[in-house]
Amino acid sequence: MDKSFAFLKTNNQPNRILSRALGKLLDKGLVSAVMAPGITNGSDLPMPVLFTRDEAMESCIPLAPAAGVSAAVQAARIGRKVKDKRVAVVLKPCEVRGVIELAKLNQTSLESLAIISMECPGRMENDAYLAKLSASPDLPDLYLNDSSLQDQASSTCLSCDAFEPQGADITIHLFGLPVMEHIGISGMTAIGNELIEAMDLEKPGAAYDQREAMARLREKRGRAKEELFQKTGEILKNPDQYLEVLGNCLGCFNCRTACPLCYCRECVCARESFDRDLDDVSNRAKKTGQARMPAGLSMFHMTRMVHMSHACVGCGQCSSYCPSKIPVADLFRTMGQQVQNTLDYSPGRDPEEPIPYLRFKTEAGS
Amino acid sequence: MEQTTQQTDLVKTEQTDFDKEFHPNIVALVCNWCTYTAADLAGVTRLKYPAEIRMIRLMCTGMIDPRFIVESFLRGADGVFIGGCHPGDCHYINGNLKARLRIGGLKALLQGMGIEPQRLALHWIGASEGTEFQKQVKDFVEGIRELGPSGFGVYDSI
Repeated sequence: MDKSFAFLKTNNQPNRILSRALGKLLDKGLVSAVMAPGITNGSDLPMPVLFTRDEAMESCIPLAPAAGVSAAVQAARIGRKVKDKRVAVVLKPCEVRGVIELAKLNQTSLESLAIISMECPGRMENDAYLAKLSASPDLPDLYLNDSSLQDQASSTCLSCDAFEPQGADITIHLFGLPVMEHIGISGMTAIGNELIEAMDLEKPGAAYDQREAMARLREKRGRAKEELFQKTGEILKNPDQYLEVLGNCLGCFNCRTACPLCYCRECVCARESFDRDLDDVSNRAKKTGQARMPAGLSMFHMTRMVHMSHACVGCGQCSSYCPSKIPVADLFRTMGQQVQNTLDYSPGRDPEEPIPYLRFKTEAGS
Repeated sequence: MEQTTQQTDLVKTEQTDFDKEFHPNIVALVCNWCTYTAADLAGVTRLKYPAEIRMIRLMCTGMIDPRFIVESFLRGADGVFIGGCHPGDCHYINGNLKARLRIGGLKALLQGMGIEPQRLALHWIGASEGTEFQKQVKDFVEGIRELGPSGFGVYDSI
């Protein structure tokens, strides 16, 4: 385990206690703000909230098992704007990967961000979370300790084996630990260690071996992932299945809006040049007797795949946003893996690793 | 592309040897500085190459938006042939190298969508290589002819 590994006593309230520990960073002036999942007036859905005073941290749910939106976009906004201060951002591992990818795309800078991430048990879909929460208000805490609740996570999370954060300054350890008594916190970088010092943590008495719990989860989710990729790979290759899955697409562009990596202000697919000419539609109709009027949706999805498949971090927000319940994320992650394997690239792995399409070799050769 | 199909339909009133063969729709995206000149040279030298290719001249393979290729396939192309300058010879220093990476990624994507990788080809053909152009186009068209129609146009029905 990491050298700076320490325990945080949780007294059956891991979220509350961790919020207070984060509040100490504000109190001691180590960070100028903390962005973490929290609830604000009017909604119980955890959203990225910017906290600047430690007494406000009571509404913070850092380990919330739901994410209304991908916090990567909001963290990137902070990184882009804030230059001479440090802001702590609490992100899920997929969101960390998203921020790192956005930094590579020159959309943000990681310099002012202190990234705090956790071993992620997964997030629930928003409506499922809210329904469950009304029955049990302690859901964010109970979720961490209850594998039957964790099995109700979104389908993307259930098939995600990248639940360990990469590139974070601080990692919060949950798996294999008695989370209702204490959780583990370790600093991965110099900044992380500095922040941990301020949290007043206990030095570990007995070391916990997380390897077994991690391996078990990785095996379970890895198997689910392989099955999913297998199934979705077939859908993509088979026109009948493909049309059946994507036929309900409304062309609302929600998946584009949800995607933390789709950073363009004006999407190329929204331009006039992507409008399908009426002559094209009528030509198609002449051939087969009928043609769908909102056309070019395959073109939209494939264009997005071309743009994003190498960078897809697998957060699953596109599926969550889809009003037609199309498993967009499954399609993207499957395609993403194929493209990433070809290009030998893993999004969010390393901020220094260049984007594959910029990695061209300048020496001669074919 | 629709128009061309209709024209062939008109010709099909009586069967000729030409009609017995499958004539793929092939889009050729070629660089102005090398492959297009090579095609010109092939023409001047009276080297015959298959008439199935529809050549589109671009200033550089580096300007090939993957959209050109995706849209070609969606609109019924059976193959896309790309010709650019040899590495190191690019008029714009490294456009062809960018194209190579981009097309490599796109090839994986199209393969995931069920398009055979042979349907998308990238070749380096210098301006003086008229015979090489003839050979590559011939080989490509024959390859596609063996593969048959791509059928990828179905994906465009949504």
